[in-house]
Amino acid sequence: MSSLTREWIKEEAARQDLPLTDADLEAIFERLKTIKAALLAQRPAKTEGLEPPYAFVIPE
Amino acid sequence: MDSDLCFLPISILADQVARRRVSPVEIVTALLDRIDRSNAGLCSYITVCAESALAAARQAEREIHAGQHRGPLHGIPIAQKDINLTRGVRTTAHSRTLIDYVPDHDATHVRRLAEAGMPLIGKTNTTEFAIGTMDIFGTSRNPWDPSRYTGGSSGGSGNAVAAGLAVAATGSDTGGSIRIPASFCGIVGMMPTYGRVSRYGVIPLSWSMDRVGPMCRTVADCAMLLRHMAGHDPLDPTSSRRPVPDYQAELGREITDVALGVPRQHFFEHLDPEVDTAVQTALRRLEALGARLEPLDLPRARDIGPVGWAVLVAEAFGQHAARLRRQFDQYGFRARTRIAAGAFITAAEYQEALQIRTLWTSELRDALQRVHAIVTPTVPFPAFSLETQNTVPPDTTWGTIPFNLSAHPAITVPCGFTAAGLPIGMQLVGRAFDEGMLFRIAHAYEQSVEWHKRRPVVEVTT
Repeated sequence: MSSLTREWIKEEAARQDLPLTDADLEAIFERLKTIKAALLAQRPAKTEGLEPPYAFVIPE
Repeated sequence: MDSDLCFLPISILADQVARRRVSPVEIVTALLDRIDRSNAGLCSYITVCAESALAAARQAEREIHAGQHRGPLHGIPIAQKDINLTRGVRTTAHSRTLIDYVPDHDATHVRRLAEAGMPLIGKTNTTEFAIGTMDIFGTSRNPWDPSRYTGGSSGGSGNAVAAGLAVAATGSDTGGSIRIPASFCGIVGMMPTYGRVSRYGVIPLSWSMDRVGPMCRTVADCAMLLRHMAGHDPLDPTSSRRPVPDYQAELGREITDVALGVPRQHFFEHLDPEVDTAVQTALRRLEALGARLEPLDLPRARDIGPVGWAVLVAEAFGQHAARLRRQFDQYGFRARTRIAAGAFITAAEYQEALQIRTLWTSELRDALQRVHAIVTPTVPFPAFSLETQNTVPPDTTWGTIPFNLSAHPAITVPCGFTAAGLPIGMQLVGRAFDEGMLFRIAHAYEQSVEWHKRRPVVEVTT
């Protein structure tokens, strides 16, 4: 989360051949802020055994 | 032509068609008449298939007269969301990049409904690639108040069904795109369990979140449609091999043995007061019908929405990356920024999102062992203005995306109206592959109230 900066998005966008405008960059930055903060806040304390069910279908 | 034909439930229309009291040609003609008068104002359809629908209706009529009745959907027109591939009929996904795209094959569920004898009446409006805005063909307007939005992404299906421009329609749902417009437009929308309906031929957004389902005016109509859309498809490796039950058999059964979970966290917080009142009243009604209400702890619910978005945008970028690089300027601002956000989700973060998804799915599965279904408002507020939609819309996926993430089925059913006359929806979330129970509960509720009998008072004309 601390690595999310506008500069990083700009550099990564160039690497990925995405010609973002300033407005694009700002909208993406705001969306990513929320997403990455939520992921960080819920980061599992234990990661072993957390594979998704096959094809995301709940075991029958 | 009789406009009332356009508002009859499929079961009644089917009976009339089978007895040859109503011709499929009459139904298609009545719909085309309403579409002709109202489509320019409502922006329901991107493409209207007038000639081919009439030809298919005439064929259905001939077959039925010849004693070759295919079943209850024979001769009943269907509207397909313009994200579903339709052989020989333009499929745009409301994108400039697909503006002239005419597929050479049908999506599996499109083919199944066609084989059941349903004439394709047209392709309904969608937000760009089911994630952006509606810039090319106009923003779909809410028939209960045309200054307001239908909700998305299946907004054209929502308003077409509500306004009698379609008897029934299909939608796709990656974060709420069936349930949100169904709720805003005052109709029923069913998002089936992941794997229940083939995704083959549906332009993908997020492979692990996408679902396809029916949008109709009644629960019974949705049940009938899903029965014909569902089932294993070798062309979709994630489609389930479980047999499709007879959902109609669940309709009319009592709910006295049913336990309903009412979440303590998230879903009943910060609601518009009129939504709160309507859903609380609906809960009392369900209780009066014999259901047992049980408070439910879902501690992960509050923060799960952005996790759903992490998966959605990462997979959407995976799907769109090459096209986005080639035709970046051809994408609208909202579609391209939402999709491109996925380029900046790292592999570690995507894995993290999948792990949190597993924990959330387990939490829901445990909860659904104690109750038959979970009840929530579908959207925390009623339909908002077109201006809001086209500038900074609120997050409508607040109550819906958690269940795209978990793979569970969910249905929305009308549960009231605001003082301003805007519909309010109640969401029921069920166990995996237990759509039948959702139909049973939703039908019992629907038949005990009158909401589904209301029609929009505003006739939008050009």
